[in-house]
Amino acid sequence: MSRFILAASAVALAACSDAPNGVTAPTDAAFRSDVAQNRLAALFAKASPAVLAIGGTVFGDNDEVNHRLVFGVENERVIPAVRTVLAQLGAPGTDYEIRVTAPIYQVATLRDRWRPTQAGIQIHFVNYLCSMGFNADLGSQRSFITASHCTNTQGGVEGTQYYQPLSSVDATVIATEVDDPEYFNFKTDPMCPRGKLCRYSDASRELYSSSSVESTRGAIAKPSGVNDNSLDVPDGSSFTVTEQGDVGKDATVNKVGRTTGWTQGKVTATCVNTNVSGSRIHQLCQTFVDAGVGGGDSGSGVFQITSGNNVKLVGILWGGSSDGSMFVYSPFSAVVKELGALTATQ
Amino acid sequence: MTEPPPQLRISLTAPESVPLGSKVPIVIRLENAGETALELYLRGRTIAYDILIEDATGEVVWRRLEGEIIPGIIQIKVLDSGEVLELSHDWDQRTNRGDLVEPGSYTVRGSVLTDSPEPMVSPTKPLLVVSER
Repeated sequence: MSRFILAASAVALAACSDAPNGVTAPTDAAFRSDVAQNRLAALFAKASPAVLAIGGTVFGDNDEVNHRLVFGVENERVIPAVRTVLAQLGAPGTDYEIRVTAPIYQVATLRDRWRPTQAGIQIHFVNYLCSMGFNADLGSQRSFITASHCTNTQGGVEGTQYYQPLSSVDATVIATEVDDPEYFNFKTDPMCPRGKLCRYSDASRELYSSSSVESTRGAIAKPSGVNDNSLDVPDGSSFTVTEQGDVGKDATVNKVGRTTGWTQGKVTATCVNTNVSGSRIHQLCQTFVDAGVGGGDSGSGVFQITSGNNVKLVGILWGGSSDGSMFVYSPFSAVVKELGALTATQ
Repeated sequence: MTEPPPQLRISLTAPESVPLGSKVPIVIRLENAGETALELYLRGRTIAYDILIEDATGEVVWRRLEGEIIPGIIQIKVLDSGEVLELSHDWDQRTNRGDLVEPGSYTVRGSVLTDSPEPMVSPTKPLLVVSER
């Protein structure tokens, strides 16, 4: 009797909004519907945590429209276990539906806020965007490496302050530039063409601000696909840097950067002396790769996949062709020669 | 920045006709025709822009960024309402191989590199190179 009154009152309130001058008595169908929904809600409260504790389950829903519970599973092999649990709870088969559905991942993109930081994610300084090359320690100094031209002034240390992903998203200064060797001319090294300013690596080191800014050395964000411009990194997946060094011509290398994501291609030339468009800069002994690149990818770490997700870090990307079909990077040995004995492995 | 915002107008100015061998002033203009400021994500510490000169057969005879290696940095450029960004270059009428072009009909097109896969492209303008007699 009390349930009838409760249900009737609920229906009456709803009816009042449509018929303010009278009360409509609840129909039998409406009453049955409300009682059934209350029962399903009670069942759902027990069934949802029990079912979703089973491996391979995706979601649980109390479908009030169709008056049944709906459970999503990754594949058919999970269905028997779900049925068993529901049977143990006394749920008849008419009370629920089980569907095979795609898993739902927690997805971040390379342009989102990442803590701890890892290689490949977006960094911001002044009014510029680049990519984080790799986390590395120089002795006890916890740092990250990016391109030299991804500092306030290319060459020389002026204390550039970095944000991740943007200062407007998180105003924390995650790191400050501490090493960016000056460029030299032909008087210092005759390999440098007259009228140009040269280095062997377009790389700089930035020191993390404090222990409150977490970073993962040896981790490179792994987007969901290669050479498809995907920036999504499902479930925080990553490559692991287990080696560091150089590779030669015809090696297949990869990069992960905030603009074109994960791209992969073959080394087409090594030790190429390269003029930098729009500047007097000349980079000595660089490596050319037939793989995609875009504005914003500067600073990306370049790596060779050795096995599974294990990789060898081989350099820092700094530029590419105007059509984005090839990129240029500074080899790891040149980065170390100019910035010091970095440890980038996990 | 993925697609150019609709209130951003890109145009190109170039003379319709020039004497053979003279400099050809070409200007790409980006104008914010909207009422609010725009943030443009442009490639390069020096903004990277391309100019293509094609002959009557459609063959590219000169390209400003031919063979250039461009730094992969993005600069965030704010264009206020009504503000115009101009990118200009004087073409010397030489092909990418260094030869002087022949008199005839050409077309001029400009593009500005951003962080999108495709650059922002200007309308194409005709250019007549006239031999002086």
